[in-house]
Amino acid sequence: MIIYPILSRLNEWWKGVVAAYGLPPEFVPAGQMVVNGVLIAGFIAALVLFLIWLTRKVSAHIQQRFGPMRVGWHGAVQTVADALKLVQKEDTTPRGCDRPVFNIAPFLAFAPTVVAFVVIPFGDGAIVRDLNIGVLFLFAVTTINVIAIIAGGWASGSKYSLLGGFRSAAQLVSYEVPLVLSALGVIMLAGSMRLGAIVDAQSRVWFVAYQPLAFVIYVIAATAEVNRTPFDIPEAEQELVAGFNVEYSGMKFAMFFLAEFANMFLVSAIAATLFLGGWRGPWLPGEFWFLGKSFAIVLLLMFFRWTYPRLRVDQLMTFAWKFLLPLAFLNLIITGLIVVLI
Amino acid sequence: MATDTAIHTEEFQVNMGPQHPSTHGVFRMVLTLDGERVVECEPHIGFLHRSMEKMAENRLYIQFLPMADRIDYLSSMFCSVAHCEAVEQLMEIEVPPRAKYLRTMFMELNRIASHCIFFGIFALDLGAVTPFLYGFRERELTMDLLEMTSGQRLTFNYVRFGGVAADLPESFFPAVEKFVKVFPARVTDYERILNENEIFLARTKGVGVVAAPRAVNYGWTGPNLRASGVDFDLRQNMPYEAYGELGYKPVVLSRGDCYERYLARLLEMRASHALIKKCVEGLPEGPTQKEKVSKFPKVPAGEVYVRVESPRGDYGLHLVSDGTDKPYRYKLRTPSFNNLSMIRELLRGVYLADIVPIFGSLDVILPDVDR
Amino acid sequence: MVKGAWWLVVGLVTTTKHFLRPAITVQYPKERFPQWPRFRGRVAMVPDDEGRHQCTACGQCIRICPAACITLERHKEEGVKGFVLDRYVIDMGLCIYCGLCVEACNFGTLVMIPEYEMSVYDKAELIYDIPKLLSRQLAPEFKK
Repeated sequence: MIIYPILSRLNEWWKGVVAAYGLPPEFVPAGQMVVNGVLIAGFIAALVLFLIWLTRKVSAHIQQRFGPMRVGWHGAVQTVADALKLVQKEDTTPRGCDRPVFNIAPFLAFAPTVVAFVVIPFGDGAIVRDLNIGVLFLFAVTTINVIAIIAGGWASGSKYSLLGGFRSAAQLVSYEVPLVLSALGVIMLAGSMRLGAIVDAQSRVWFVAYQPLAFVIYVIAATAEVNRTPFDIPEAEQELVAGFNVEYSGMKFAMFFLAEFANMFLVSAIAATLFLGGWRGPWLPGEFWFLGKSFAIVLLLMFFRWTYPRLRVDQLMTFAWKFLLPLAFLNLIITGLIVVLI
Repeated sequence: MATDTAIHTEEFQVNMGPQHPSTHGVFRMVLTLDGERVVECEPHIGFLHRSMEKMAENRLYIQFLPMADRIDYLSSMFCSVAHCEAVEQLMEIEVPPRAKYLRTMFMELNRIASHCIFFGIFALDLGAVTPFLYGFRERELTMDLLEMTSGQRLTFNYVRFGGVAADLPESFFPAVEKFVKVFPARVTDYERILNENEIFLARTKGVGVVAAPRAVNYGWTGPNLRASGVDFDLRQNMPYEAYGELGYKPVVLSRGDCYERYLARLLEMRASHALIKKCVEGLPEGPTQKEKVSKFPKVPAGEVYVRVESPRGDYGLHLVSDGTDKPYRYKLRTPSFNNLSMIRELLRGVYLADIVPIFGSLDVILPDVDR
Repeated sequence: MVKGAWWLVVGLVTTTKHFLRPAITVQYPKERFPQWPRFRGRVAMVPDDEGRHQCTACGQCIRICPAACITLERHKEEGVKGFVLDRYVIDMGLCIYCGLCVEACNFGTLVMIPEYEMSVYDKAELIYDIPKLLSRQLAPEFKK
């Protein structure tokens, strides 16, 4: 309701410009792509800045303290200050490292998230590309994160980073399966993988009412996918062997860090779209509802992080394979039966 | 940091160095790992050795009193009380009953403060950051009470030979009423966050099980021993100060794993709270220090062994005096030293990730180990 | 299993409850925490009505100090009973803030004031002689 009209007016103007200057017609989609890319990248940048501030404030108030207060109004500019600090840090490169992979790995962690936002519906009609295989595209693209983590661990040239990278990769791959299976239930109910169709199918009742178990499984698997507590072994300082990003400093470390927050918002946005009705909601424009629901899930993830202790690595894997996976299958079978019989 | 070995399944050594977020203090462990399991663990202590015992031989008894506070600064009341009791026993001074009650009450407050830290740090090691701050908030309450009376928040210097340094101020009574009223609800909060939490239980139940005979053989004392099932608490078996009159029933559990050690301390916080309540209600009138006790006593020759039940266990002081105004030998039997002695046995064959809960559940404080 | 899930939710509820409570931080240095009257800050001398110290140079405080941070010089004068104080110096860099000197003094010369912001750029500024001991540099008005 907000984005779509603005974008379509922009589109019309650009078509007019292309026609007026006699440019070849390929410029029209090219211009669209440029604008979309800039919008998404800008959105993610602003979002991550906001999310980092939000997480510090939320964690502080859970612990009955204030959090950042001095830099800007209630610490609002703190993230900018931290980013500036990280940018001016020395960019160390360990000696035994694989230089090209070492330099690419952080950006490889960040890129899939940006790409995945192409299919997320921000509002009514405000999707960059409403692919027919929307859900499949999302999960396929977010799996590239695993490559990024292994690349980061391998390229650091230290056996501890490599081990940390392996552990992380094992965790991510294990939790992909319940994640996808829980989304399958939603796809069966909506009858399509297109995210626009899924949101439309929730026009009366949100899918969380039909698929509560899938929702819970999805949230848990998503927490593991973004490496947050209780599944954040790679990032824990108390664990002996540090994770894959131990050798990174300065801007590259900042990229890993930002990628984690962007990812967190991405999985929350997917949860909001699949289970909570996307941008649907009365009175207010769709964008507000979408952001509100996504931030609700983000808040839930933050509360998880600051309340629960950490799982041990083998317990983590046991939990995924012996507990979440059978539950996800159960959910799938029940949903399938209901869809066929009703 | 570690020896350069191949990556295939060979044992490799990792140094959990003196600076590490999970070793409570400066403690070094050289671990030999086979994949995820610990094969051997070699502890190195002594990084925090301050030669307290030697310093005591060169100080007057009253001069060493502030330093006794710093032997184990998280439970400094107990160290001071042990020091003063030793001198009082050698000089045969009788402490007035009000002073006894005051000492007991502040010892229990200090115990609560120490267990709050344990609670916070144990949760922090396992990844839950929030209980740490809740524990410290409770500590503020106890430290306020102690600061009102003694003047300091951590090393109180409050006990004197023959009693305590000063009586309670006027502001103490409303504050302690508030504390007594508010505290049990806070402990319930802690229990709600951690006690039945699935993740917490998965990390600590069945981990680091110590059977009672082994615990006794290694000289364990305190909540560690009581979690393994041995009913021994100095406040019950060998009462001192006002514990005899107040009566105390210790918290004894049975299984001896990390979870039970954690639970023993949590329940002890409640028991201490009940004791404080009894102390406040039954506080006798009278002087807070015995008259005519010199600040610079010349302690008659002899030796005495004093034991107090500190939050970590049995804190013992063996004082040998040769008739002068300085101790001849000041031997400390600190509980953390004996509790730590089993670390090699305990860590053999456990997962890498289990080291942290096991070590945390022992509640070892390095200044206590190294003196 | 259901019990496990229930307790996880209870944990979240407790955290949320704390989230909704006001923060209890005292934002130093804008706000300060008030001190109790018996708080053992730095050692200071008590001036009498004319602003002079009341020390009789007996030396008890030196005898009792665990950190040996007090130095004093005195001499005997004709016709004056007792000693006359020449110099009295406490090295606050060595002081452990135990308060034993205050207790040892029989003449009420010393007191501990709630001044705790003792950081200096030069260690020589930590050596407090009589004028400095008589002065007070307490923190600004407490808030909270």
